[in-house]
Amino acid sequence: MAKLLTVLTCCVLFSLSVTAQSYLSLSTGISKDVNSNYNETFYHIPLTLQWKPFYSHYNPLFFEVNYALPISGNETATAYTLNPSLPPAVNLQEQVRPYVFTASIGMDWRIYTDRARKDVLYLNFLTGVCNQTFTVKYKNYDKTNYEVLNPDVNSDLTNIVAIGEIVYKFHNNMIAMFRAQTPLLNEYNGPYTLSYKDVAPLQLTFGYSFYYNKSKTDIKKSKRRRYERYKRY
Amino acid sequence: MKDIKDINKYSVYAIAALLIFCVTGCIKEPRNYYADEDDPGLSRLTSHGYNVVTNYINGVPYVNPYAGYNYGNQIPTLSKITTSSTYDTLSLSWNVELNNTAADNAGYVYNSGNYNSISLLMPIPKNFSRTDLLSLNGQSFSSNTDAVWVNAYHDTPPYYDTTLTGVANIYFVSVYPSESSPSIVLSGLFNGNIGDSVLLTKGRFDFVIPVDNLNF
Repeated sequence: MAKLLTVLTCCVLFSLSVTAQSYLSLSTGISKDVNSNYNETFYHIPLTLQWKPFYSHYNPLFFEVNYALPISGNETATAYTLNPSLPPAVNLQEQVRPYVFTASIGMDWRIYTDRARKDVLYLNFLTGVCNQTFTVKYKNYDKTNYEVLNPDVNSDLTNIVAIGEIVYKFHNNMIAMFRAQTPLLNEYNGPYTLSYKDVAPLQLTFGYSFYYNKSKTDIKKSKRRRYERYKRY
Repeated sequence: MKDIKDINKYSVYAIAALLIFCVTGCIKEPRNYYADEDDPGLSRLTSHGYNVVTNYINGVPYVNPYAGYNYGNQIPTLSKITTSSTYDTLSLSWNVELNNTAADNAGYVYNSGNYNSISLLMPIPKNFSRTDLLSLNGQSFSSNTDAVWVNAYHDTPPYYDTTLTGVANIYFVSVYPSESSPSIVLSGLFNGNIGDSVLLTKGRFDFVIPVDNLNF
């Protein structure tokens, strides 16, 4: 993990990109946790906001915030009682919901572009800080008479993560993104045993980019193309 | 002058050796008390082998003591007591002390008449074995057959210890052999009473008992 972060940091510091437009993009889709050994896989609806403030060829730096709303994560828990007038053991539905927020900074590399520069494929690498808040609920839990065995509890974890993305921009503004995020650099290792682990989301999202500033080079290229077209006719 | 240098050199070696000994030899065993959010006087009901037992005696929270840095929580004694009757007795005993933090939070007024150990006694066949112990998983024992002994002491004059005997309910919610070492993890619930004067309520235990400590 440390090596991976080192490599990513080096890439961020010593690389150059050919991306040359400022943009703000928003995308959403579906996310699956690939780290947890929880009974039911955690699925999320992610919302990703990317902002590339610099239009220069030599500044491919961009920022990203990602918030993932949980939509699944149920397990069966068992509760016990000594009360002779009640069933000695009952099953309860345990509901764990991890809310994942990541703020990151990274760089993009354009690895493919068509002639018209309408379809472009990017490879992004980012590092950032991720906060994962787990909320635990037991449905229909009679707390007066029953005790849940090995109850899960709420937790709040924050640490560094690395992110890799493949972004396909098509029809000028549309984007399709495949995004993979590592688990937290320092996973939960508390003394109390929990049945869930921190989340490593794998996301597929679709969205829209708003370009608001073109680089001078792009403008020049565009003018040149227009001029060549004009000369041909 | 050379001798002084040598002495300093040896001192450095000695300190380094001492530090290595301390770092490798002293491993802090955790208290393993995890307050139940719904009932802070008790630790959560667990089956991880945390060696923690909590309950209320007349509404006051009690817990097994912390034995120290290298030992963790005091472990209970699980033993078979041979009797002259048809059945032998399985005894699960542990020391208790006031769960101070929880008692303070509950506004408990410290006075004499505290308790220092609890024993749960269950009738078992004469040929009760370790395999039979594992088969207790999910079984409960009612107050018709089980007894509870509570050792009480008076910490103001006249100082004395006394053993009080009553009835108990025990439910072994989880009994399994530990994978890491030859031991058995026992978890469950208990309650009991000694007449109307002493009420043991909401008892929870999670013990890991080395098989070498068993006398059967």
